[in-house]
Amino acid sequence: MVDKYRHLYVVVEIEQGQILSVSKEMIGEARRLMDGFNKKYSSKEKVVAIVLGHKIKELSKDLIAIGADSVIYCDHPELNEIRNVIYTKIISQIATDKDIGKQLESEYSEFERPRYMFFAADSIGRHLSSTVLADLDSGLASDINQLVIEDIEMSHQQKTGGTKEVYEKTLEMYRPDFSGFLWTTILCLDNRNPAFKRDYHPQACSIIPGVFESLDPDPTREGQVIEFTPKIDEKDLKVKIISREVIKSEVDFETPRTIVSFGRGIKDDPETNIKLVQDLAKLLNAEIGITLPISKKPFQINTSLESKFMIPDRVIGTSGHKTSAMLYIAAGISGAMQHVWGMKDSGFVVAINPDDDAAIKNECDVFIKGRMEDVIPMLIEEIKKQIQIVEA
Amino acid sequence: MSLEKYDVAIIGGGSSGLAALQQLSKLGKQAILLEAGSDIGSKNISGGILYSKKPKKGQVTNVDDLYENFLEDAPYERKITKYILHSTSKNKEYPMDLTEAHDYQSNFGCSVLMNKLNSWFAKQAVENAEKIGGGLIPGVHVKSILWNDQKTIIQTDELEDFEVRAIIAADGVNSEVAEMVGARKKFSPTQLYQGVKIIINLPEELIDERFGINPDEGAAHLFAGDITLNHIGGGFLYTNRDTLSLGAVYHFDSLLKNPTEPYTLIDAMIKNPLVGELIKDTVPIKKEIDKNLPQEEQLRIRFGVAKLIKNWKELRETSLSPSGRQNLIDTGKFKSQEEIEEKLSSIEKQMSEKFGVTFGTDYVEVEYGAKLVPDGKRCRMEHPFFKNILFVGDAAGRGVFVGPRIEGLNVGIDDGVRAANAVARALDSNDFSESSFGKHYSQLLEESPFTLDMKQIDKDYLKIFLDAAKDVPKDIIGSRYGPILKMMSSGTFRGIAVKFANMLGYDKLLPMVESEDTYVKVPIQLAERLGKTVELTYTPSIPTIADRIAGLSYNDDHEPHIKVLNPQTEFMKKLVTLCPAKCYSEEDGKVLIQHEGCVDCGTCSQETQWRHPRGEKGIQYKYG
Repeated sequence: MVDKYRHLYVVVEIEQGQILSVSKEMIGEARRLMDGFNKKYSSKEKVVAIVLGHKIKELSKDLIAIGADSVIYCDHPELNEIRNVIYTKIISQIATDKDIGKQLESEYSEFERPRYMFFAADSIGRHLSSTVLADLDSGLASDINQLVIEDIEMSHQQKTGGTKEVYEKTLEMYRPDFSGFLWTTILCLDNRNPAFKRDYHPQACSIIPGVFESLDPDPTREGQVIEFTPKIDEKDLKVKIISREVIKSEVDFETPRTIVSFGRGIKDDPETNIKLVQDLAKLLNAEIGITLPISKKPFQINTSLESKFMIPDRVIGTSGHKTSAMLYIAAGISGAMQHVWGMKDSGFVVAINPDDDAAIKNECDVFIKGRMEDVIPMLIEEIKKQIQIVEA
Repeated sequence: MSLEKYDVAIIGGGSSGLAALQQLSKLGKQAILLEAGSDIGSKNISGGILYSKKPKKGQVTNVDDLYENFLEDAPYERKITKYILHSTSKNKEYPMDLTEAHDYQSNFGCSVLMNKLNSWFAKQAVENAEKIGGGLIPGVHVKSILWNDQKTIIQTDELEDFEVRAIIAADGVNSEVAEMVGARKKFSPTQLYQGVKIIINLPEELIDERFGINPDEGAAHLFAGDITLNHIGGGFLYTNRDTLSLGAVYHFDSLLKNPTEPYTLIDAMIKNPLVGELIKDTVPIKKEIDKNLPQEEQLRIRFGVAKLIKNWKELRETSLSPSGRQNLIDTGKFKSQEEIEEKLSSIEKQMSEKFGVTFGTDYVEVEYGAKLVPDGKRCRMEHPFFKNILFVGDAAGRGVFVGPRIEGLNVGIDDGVRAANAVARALDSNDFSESSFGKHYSQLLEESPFTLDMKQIDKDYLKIFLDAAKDVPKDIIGSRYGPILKMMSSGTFRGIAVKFANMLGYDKLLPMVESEDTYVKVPIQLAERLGKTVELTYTPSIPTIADRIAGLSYNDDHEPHIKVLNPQTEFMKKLVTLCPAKCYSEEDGKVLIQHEGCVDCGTCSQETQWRHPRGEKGIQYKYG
């Protein structure tokens, strides 16, 4: 039997000339899957990376080094920035281009579309995957974190008209289910019911970043590079990108296991104290938090420190973030209930405060009585020593 | 440049302002209502009973007169049919049935939640208002009012300035309009009560059963005695459709004398065995997640448990309500009641078998809020107008506090209608002078039966209390109120005594009646001597104030709307305790404010520069 649907296409995302790690992870997983697939079915289907942009041909080598068999690149000044409409059109053009099929495998002339297709489940990929698959009129499973290819036998009133059918080479797409029933498996199956027969290919999904592992680059790997010349319609370029600015939340209280926060206790020498907190945080690989009053900039300090630290984004408490850090260091924080609410779920709390009666004393595991400017340097010194010992 | 012009601006979209809008629209007059909240009702909160008054003398416009379909369509909660005053002392309580006092001069009194109800009022009023070129604009905060060259100009934080011919100020107890134009001073602590309220979830049919009422009935329980923590005032617990309103209302003066955190006063009620038993419910208790499991698995369990509990709560709540059950069957989600019950028990089984969830007893608090209540006896505006501005309801200090019954919503609605009538006449005669317009409104308010209640003791109303207390041993009451009581309990003398008391006036009389004896000591004695014992069968997990504040929704304004004037006064230092949202703290003898958790109650307004937050900013109540 000659397959109309072949290969696994991976839509690669790049950011300022760099391949995103989720794209590398997808190619790694695609490689593993297709190696298994080709062995199982004695086939030679390929991992095909699709990359759009401007001056990106060079990336093809990198993509091949991390597992792609072929790279289809599309280089055009209009593709320098991602715009959904034009990207959707071109990716659909690539996916339905039969010439590409021939270039990938000269012996198959019946190629119509890819068998599988991967997108990244980040904000761009989620958007793109939905519009591309709507264009291709097939299904899409979002936010997938496990993939298996198998032949499955099933009967289904709608899909098979109630008779038992074997679906070969079916991509089982898993995602955690919020209802608590372990995993949901999503299948994208052709309708074989004679009453409304139709195909659903490619079987596509978006993949959660950080789930799969990318392969170590092997510069000796060889692969095929195909240039695709897009048909660009002016009316798909209506959205213009005038300027571009990366808005990244500077503050992340989710990932770090340690948080160092400071409050009005910095008052005697705000700049020096903030720098001390910065040093301590760096040493502990910690994020820096503040209390609400600090966000109102009660002290005059240099503007670069102010705009970095005395900002609402850093506030921990009822009108800011809640954290459950493993280690929480509260330096010069009195322990107002608004702040305590945001940090009381922390694993281990160290408070530094010169005032014995400070409310924070009731909320901490270790209370160090003293001014932060005196205590933090000692802490830093001691931690450095301990790190040396541990590393030795 | 010519400004946009409207006939009337109503400032504030509470029940009173909305009533004015509705009445003006009925009279065919163009009015525009400005509300600071992002939605009507989101900034409104009340104790929770709206009365329809049947006065012995005079006439009022009740909610069911103003909105003819009120009883059929309005989302009020329950008509109160049972009204009981409990005297408490530790685990003893002595009930007194005061349903007669509740029914006195009343067509009905129903429990209400302001967010829902005011949105409904707004919906009724806005349709008519828009037909005549008026309407309702939420998210607008009035900044100032100017009189320029015969023109009245309103300036807001959000809109272009515009011109009006008259203004109805319905901006509540902390009326900024009154303050900025100088119509009255801020109310003083002696004139105010501070009310704090929590909303508690309890499925509808459990409420029926627990409170011994039918689906079309409601209960109000009032509390005095040791739960007041020696303050002048008391607690209340009202049944809503599927929630309860639990609150505490105390005289501000008494709170200042002996500062107690408002939430501690609420907590004292929750800890009372009688209250605790009335509010309890079955709650799921999650099993601690094994920290050694892989991150992803932990996450899956957390989501799984949360989702199941949510499903369970929703289905349980719906299935314990006759209309909810019917709806489940009518919409075809379930075939029969049995099927609903099966589903519910299968969810419960999943919860316990899959995730080790157990079930226990606790109470479920869903919203915390606070407000100041003006005591009309002490603070109603003598002249409720200024130039071409009329003041209504709370803004004019008009609340009726007589005995345990507090009326404010109905007063505000009636005031709103009277103000609308006065405005309509002025529009017709084109005379907005104080001597005509203001005086006319003033006179309309004087005719209000509510005003009479704020001035005089009603001897028939008093008799109800005396009758209710007739089983009380004379020595308990007698030792404190001996001579008064003797006079009052005799029919002939009562008339004379009340007349005499009214001659003395509320000013002199109130300190005698509104005393620790009335609210604390006598009730404690009653409970101890005559009360029955109630045991609390569980330990309520009471949220901290930080949890309560964190549970509310805010649209934070980085511009503070409150400024501390002098951080070192005695009053400001007491606010560290008295602010219901704990916005104040003291450091090195100076009081600091964090306005972010503020619930706009106005407790601190006395000695601060106090404004409502700008349009759409600040607290947003879901229940209110």
